[in-house]
Amino acid sequence: MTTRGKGNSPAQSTAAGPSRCGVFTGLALAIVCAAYLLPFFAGGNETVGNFSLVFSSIMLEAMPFMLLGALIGGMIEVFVSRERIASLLPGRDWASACVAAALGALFPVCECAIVPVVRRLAGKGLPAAAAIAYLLAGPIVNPVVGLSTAMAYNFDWRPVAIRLGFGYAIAVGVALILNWRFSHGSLFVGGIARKEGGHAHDGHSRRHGGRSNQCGPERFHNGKSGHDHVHDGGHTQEMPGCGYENGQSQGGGFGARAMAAGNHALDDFMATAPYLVAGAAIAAIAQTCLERRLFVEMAASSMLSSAVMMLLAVLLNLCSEADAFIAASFRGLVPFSAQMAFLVVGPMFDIKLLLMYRNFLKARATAFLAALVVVAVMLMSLLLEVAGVAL
Amino acid sequence: MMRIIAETARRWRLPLICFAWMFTFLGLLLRKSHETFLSANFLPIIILATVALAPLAIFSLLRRTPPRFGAMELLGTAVILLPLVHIYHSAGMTLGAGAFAARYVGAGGGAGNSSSSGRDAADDWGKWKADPDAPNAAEPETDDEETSLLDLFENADQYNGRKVTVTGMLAKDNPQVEQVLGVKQPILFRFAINCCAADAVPLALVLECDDSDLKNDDWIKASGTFRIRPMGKLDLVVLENAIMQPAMRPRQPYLYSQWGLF
Repeated sequence: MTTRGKGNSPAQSTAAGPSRCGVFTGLALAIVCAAYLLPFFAGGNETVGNFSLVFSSIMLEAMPFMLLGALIGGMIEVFVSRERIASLLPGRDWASACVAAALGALFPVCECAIVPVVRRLAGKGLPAAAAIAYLLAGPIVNPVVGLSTAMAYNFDWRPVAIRLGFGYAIAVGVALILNWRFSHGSLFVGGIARKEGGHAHDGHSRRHGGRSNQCGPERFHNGKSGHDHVHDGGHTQEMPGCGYENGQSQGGGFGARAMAAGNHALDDFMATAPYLVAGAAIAAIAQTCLERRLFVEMAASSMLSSAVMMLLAVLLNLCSEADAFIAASFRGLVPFSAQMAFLVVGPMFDIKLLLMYRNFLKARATAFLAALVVVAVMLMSLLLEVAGVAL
Repeated sequence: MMRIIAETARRWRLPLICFAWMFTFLGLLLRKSHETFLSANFLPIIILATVALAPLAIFSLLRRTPPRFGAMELLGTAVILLPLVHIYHSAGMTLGAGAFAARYVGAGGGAGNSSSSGRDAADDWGKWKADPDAPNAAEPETDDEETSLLDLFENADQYNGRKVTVTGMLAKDNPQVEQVLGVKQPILFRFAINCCAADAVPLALVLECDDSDLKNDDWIKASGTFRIRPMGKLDLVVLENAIMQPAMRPRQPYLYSQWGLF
């Protein structure tokens, strides 16, 4: 498979891969083993108890939405054709980004659910600008978040308008800049990136020592069999988590398509869940160890307070439907602009989301996205300060 | 032998993950212990997760060619199953005094307010409503019946000077809490949540009472006269002449917003 991005060839990756991969896997396994043993050897410790409780809470809150996103993604993969997706959005990048950023108003999804959905949509050929715009705006620009923000601020609608308005504008802006700066192939990881002039290898990707492996389940999409799959360098490999043999044929009936959708959902679940767990664990450590009032003490000036509140949003990993209540608890302690910075940044990227983004966005693109969001939200805070907007 | 283990792991890895998570959600539902972690309003979401995992578990069993199994797959499996250990470990736990100290920011959700009066704290918490089904919820007009901490904060003026009884956890002789509030007295605290324990915000009353044998993080029921008054560097809500007695941990350890989004 060829991509427009700079991918490692199999030869390159195999030379550098095994030792680095082995060290990484061994280190990660050791950390995971320690995390397993923690409750048994330090279960009586209050800090460990609080960590377990918060970690479990984040996982139990996020997992249902991620599962839902994986199921929706699986159905999109099998039942929605690329032509259909293309026909739903305007042809121009800026117009498709503007429309996609508003889709959350019709399909309200939280940030955990949106990742597998966007991963599939991008694989189906959704324009990059539209995919990123929906990814960033979907968890903010939706009625549930608007309602929760209104309730948190005692039905003062200014925070709602500012949050949703700036959330929308920043999502569209960041999406367009990313689209301009990166090609589809250099934005998305191998399994998502489209093959120019050919079919898309939808959905499946796995990084292993810097190499992307693709499995082509397209034979399930339209029920056709015998689809040829050419992987990087002509290398053909069974995709971990895919479970299909290359060349295996399937019938085109509803049962087979439903089965294929379920298998895609399962793949998405398996691909996204480890990132969610890792992010939740880091967030739980931050929630347990960091004292929130220290962030208030650090927020000496308006701009510094915005930066500190953005950092807090990234560390706390709160759901976009609940974070307004935390932001509201900072009233009187940090400026309104900093509260808005907290509310706009959190749903766009936090630790958990950054790890989940790595499941379908390339590292450079993820870093660029995060930097753009930070700059845009800082500008938003500055604008609010200059305009003197306060509650 | 290793080959048999590897083959077994290859065949059963995905079903194991799906069924383990499904039965965990099912167990939380049946025992209603999801309320240890999440708002009671999340019940439909937990049901949804259980239902969504069922077809995934079946699909994982029906796969004709299970995926290969290597070190990365072992790591992935271990990572995905890790939360289950912590869920079983922490089921029945509640955030304690350490979490109170870490989460307290000084206004709205705390025992007091450094900038103005306790009335402001009550205003900040006007958005919270006590869950009428919660064991300690009560109408604010009553003098003797048990009152929710949320009610106290919501109607602080109405309660000022009245005798109230309230249930919560005890923090005493806790240097972190003393440093945060700037008082040496014990406090009664509880957390209000909207979605899950990650967004829990502390609510607390300072207790003016004789020393007792009750320990830090014990569940207590305290009765006394409710006052808003300056104490140390803050305006705090205080329970004067408080009498403490041990209490059972409520089935719902957190206070929830009544208007729940789900």
